[in-house]
Formats: sequence, structure tokens, C-alpha cells
Amino acid sequence: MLPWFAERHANPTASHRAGRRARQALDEARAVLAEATGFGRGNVVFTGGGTESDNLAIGRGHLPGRVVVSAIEHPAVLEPALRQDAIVVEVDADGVVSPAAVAAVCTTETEVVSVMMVNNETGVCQPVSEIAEKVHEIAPNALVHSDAVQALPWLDLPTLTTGVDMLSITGHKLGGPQGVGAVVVRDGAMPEPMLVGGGQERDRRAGTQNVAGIVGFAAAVRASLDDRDERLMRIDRLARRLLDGLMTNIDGVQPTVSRERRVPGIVHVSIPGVQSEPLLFLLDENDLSCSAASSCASGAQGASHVMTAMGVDASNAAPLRLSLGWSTTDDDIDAALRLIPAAVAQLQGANGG
Amino acid sequence: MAERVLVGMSGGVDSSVAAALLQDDGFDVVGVTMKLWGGESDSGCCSVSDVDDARWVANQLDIEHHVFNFGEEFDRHVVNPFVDTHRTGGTPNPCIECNRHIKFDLFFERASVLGFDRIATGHYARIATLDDGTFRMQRSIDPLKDQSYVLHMLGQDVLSRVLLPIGGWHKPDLRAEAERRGLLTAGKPDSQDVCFITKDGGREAFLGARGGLTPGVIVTEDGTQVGEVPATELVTVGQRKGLNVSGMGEPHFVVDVNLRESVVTIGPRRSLQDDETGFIQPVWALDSFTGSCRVQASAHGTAREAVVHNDRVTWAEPRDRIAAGQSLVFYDGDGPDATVIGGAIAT
Repeated sequence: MLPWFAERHANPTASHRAGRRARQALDEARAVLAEATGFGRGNVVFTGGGTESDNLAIGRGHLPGRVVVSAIEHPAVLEPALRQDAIVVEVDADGVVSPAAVAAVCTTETEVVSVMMVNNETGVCQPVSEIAEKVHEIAPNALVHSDAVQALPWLDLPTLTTGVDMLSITGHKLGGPQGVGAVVVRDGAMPEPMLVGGGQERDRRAGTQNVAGIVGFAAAVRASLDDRDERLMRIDRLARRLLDGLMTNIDGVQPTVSRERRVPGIVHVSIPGVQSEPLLFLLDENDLSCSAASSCASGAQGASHVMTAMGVDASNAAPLRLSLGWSTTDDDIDAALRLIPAAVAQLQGANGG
Repeated sequence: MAERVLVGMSGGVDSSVAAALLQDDGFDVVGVTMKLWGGESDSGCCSVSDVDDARWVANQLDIEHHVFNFGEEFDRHVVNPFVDTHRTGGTPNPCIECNRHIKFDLFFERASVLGFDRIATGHYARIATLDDGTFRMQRSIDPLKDQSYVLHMLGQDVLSRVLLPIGGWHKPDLRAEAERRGLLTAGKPDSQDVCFITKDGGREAFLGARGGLTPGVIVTEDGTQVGEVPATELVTVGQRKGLNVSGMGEPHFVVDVNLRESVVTIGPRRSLQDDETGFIQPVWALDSFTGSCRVQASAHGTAREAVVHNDRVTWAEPRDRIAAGQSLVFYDGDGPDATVIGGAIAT
């Protein structure tokens, strides 16, 4: 990635030699993403990140009720959908979007359906292929989109996205740079572009590509594909250790969702008798970075729309989301199992509990 | 080891300098901005840009900065009671309720839970230690900025652990100090008015959106109807302007607001004069008090001589009526060294 900031820096649309090299780098990155998603190279549209990909996929100008999304989507999907009076499909207590519930609100006039592959707060995998199949039975012209940002590090997308027309992906969930992503779009399914201008990305997303970012994105995806099986096993073991340890060392800790349904990289628990905000403060003081829900622009913790959708009452228990990635080690788990119970004990003690 | 202080940083100049002074004094300082109001605002705290300013200043001082989201509690303890008090014809002081329930209760409790020794804020007031070792809220040395009135409710538990580093500063000197230190907020205008009421909409838009406003009639003291008001909730005892009542001979003022019957009564100045004012919910710096002292009835009003009884004060000289919902604050002494004995809410 780094050479593309310096000695190889060039505009990939230029016809000179340096420009052609940059274009070649984009082509190679496109091939990696095609392999990772099971789409063709020509289906990959580079964007400025997951939010842009999601916004682009939802599209604009839909009539009320023509867009269908689940209640646990990322705000990058929910916001553009709600601005077009989308139908929002509720989830069950395990945080799963049922294909039947989606089918129940689709009609022949449905234009876009968006259900994420893996929820970013709970790690729960969604039955996206089944949903796509049902939607296409009812609404043959509808486009099915799935935000696969959280799924990319963990799941084999080609086998799990049958029938999906558009996928959003980004690199920063697997160690790539921020501010770069892609939407992968089946032939003939491209929504109206949001950015028009110089015709880059085959007129689907104008603007000079972020070559260094895209090269870094592809490198992270390549590395992730190469070690995925080994990493899945390793992180799954660490995640189990973490969850078991928390349940052993803190009274009343409950996993928010069942283990079977989630990717190994996210452990989500509810801790009774404490509040999220002070808990995160204490953990942060000890260099353990985690989160409770989504963050608002001010940096304050906001209530989680995902927990609300699942019917989780956060008033008596703190939701805590712990993310594990390729760099997580046993030492990190040891530290977490030392720090979290101590912080909880401090907060519960102070509350006279 | 240095004492750990959690300082509330609103993103304004006062709390910026407060944090810097604490650092000078050798405290281990962490900054917090309380996110209180999520709705429309134009006059001060809580906007994203204010949080950004606080974070920037914390970075200038090389201290950690966090955001505490007390929005739900602010709605419950400050905004909703503000609406409710208006509904009963009273005139609430939301800044006092915010200090009472949020800044010196929730924030104080949170700091304790997190293991901090003290809290600090950028309020213009001082903490006096008396000979017997107890503490009192004391006026700022800057009479134009003194905020002891809105901090009168603090008891010994908070007074013993709160630091008010700028209480000994005059505002112009403090601005110069912020300038000298190169703090981002040095030239930022003072916040005015209630943070959740906008200039454009005012209380009218705010209360109107929360259950509507009640039209009422204006009557003189003998019951003669002389006018109408579009919103009885917005009328305050003592008000003269904006009633559109003419031909009364001498100036008339609002002497009573009756929300139940939607009647506003007006009368001449002499009808507005009271010898005494009732109160509820007294709070005390230490022990409950009856006897002579000075009593202040608005944020920058004059502290007048009065006698405090169990449920009312009697004024040495008759004075204009105080709207229900306003706070009465009892001071020992006069001038900048006066200390707070306690306070209560006027009925």
C-alpha cells in the first residue's frame, strides 16, 4: 500500500505509464474482492467506505413502502431507507431476521430489500440467501442487498450469498485502511450513481480512486482469505474462553445471543447491576477498548437500536460488546478477564450491591 | 499520589480555564462533557461543536476527555419538570434543577463510583471552610458573574469534595488568562439563557410542542375582563409588557396567574407588593435555619433583608411578588463574602 502514496503515486485514469501501473493495481485489487465475494471483477465498484456502499445500494427516489430493511441494520442502511418511508422488519429475541417476516411485507412492487449478513453489535448471522430466494419469488424485479462488512472477515461469502444482487464490504474490519470500501453489484442491478463526473468505475462511481487505500483494502482481504480457517478456529477458542471466563467470574452475566448463531469475532454480553458508560470508562482507563452500542457524533454512548429491536432491557444490565480480531491473543483475553470483573466489582460495590 | 479530579467541561471558556488551573495546582485531571440535551439549541451547552471545543481544550492541556450521556436523566429531572411547572402557572428555574439533579448529583455520584477524589466545575462561586470545619457555598468575587444562587442546594457531602477554581476570578481577567494560555475557547461568547430554549422559538415553541398552550383571559382585581392572552403558561407574575391592555390609568402588572381557570389577574404596582413569601422544599448547607438573613429571589437579584420562618420568609420592606417556582436563597452576610445558608422554592 505505502508505495502508492509515494514513488508509485499516479492517477489510475491517466494513460501514461505510471497511470497504467496504478490502474493495474486497481485491477488486481478488484480480482481479490471478486474472489472474496463470488462476483466477477467487473461487478466490483470501489467506494469511500461501507456507508457510501450502503447508501448507493439503497438508492434514492423510491416510493413509500417500496424499500424493505430489517430493524437491526447499520445506520448507513437504516437512515437512507427511513428517509424513503421504508418498511422495517422486526427481529426475534435472538436477533435473527426471519425470511418469513421479510416475505410477509414484500409485494410485487418491492424495489429494494436490505438485510445484513452479520450484525455489527451481536455478531449474529442472518439467513440472507433464504431471504433473497423468498423475495425474488414474490418480487422478481426487487434488488436484494446485504451489508457484508462484518461478515467479510469470517464467512465464505460466495457460498452464502446466492441470489443476493448487491453486497457492501469494507476493509477496516480486517485490518485494512479506513475510508475505502466497495459495493459489489450483479450485472444489470446497478442503482442510480450518487457521484457523477469523470466516469470512473464504469460510470457507477465517479471520482479518482483511492489507489493506496484500495491496494491496502485488497491486501487485507487477501490476508484474511488466506488464514481464515486457521483464524476462525483460533478466535473461536479465544471467544469461548472470554465468554466462559466472564460467566464464571461475574455473577449473572448472560450472553446476549446464542453461540451457534454468531461469528467468533464478537462477544456480546449483558452485565447486571451496572451501567455501560461508567464500565467503559474504567475499562478504557486500563487500555481495554470496547463499546456498548453505537456512538453518536458527540462521542456520547447512545442507546442501541439493535438491543431495542431484540427487546433487551438495558436499564438493569449493561450491554457490553467485545470485538476480537486477527491480532487478538491469549494475553489479551487474560487481561480482559482480569479487568472486566474488577471494574464490575468496583461499580457494583459503589452501588451498594 | 496526586488527587484525581473529574472536571466538567462544557466547551466554554470558564470550565476550560478551570481545568487548566487545577492542572497548575498539581491535580490529576480528567475532563468530561455532559451530554444533556439532544434537541434543538442555540444558546450554549451540549451541541456537537461544544463537545468538540471541550475535547480540543482537553487536548491542549494534555488531559483525557470523555462524554457522559445524561440525556435521559436531564429530560426526567429538568425538562419535564420545566414543562410541568409552567402547566401549573409557575416560573421554573431549570438551571437550578440541572445543578441539583445532574451536575452535582449524577455527575458527583459517577465521579465517586469511578474512583475520583473530587469533582470540579467552571462556576463562579467559592467554597468557604468555616472555623468548625464545615463548608459553605460562597459568592464569587465577581458580583456580575456570581453563581452561588444556582448552586445553593449543595450539602456538606458535595461541598467537601467540589472544587470551583474560578470563583476567585473576575471574568475579564479570566478571559485574559485563557488568551494568555492560548486556549481555543478564550474568545467564545458566554452562554445565555436556558440551553434547551431557542431564541427563535422561545418558550412558546418549546411548550407549544409539548402539550400545547392554553388561551386565557385578563381580568382586573374586581373581576372585570380587560383582555386576552394566547398562552396563559407564558405569563409570569410581575410581568407588565406584552399584555396589550390599555386605558388602565396607571401601569398594571400581572399579580396572579391561575392556570386552572386560565385567568391572568392584573393590578397596580401596590397590589404586587408582598410582606412575605411562602416556600416549599427547603435545603440547607448544614442545619436548618430560621431567623434574620438576606434572601435573594433571582439569579442576579438583590439579596434583601428578611426573616426566614419554617415555611415562609417575611421581608423587612415589602417587595414585588415572586413567581411560584423561583428559588429563594438565604445568605449569611452581604457582599462578595456572603455564604449560603440554604434555599427553597417559592410558592
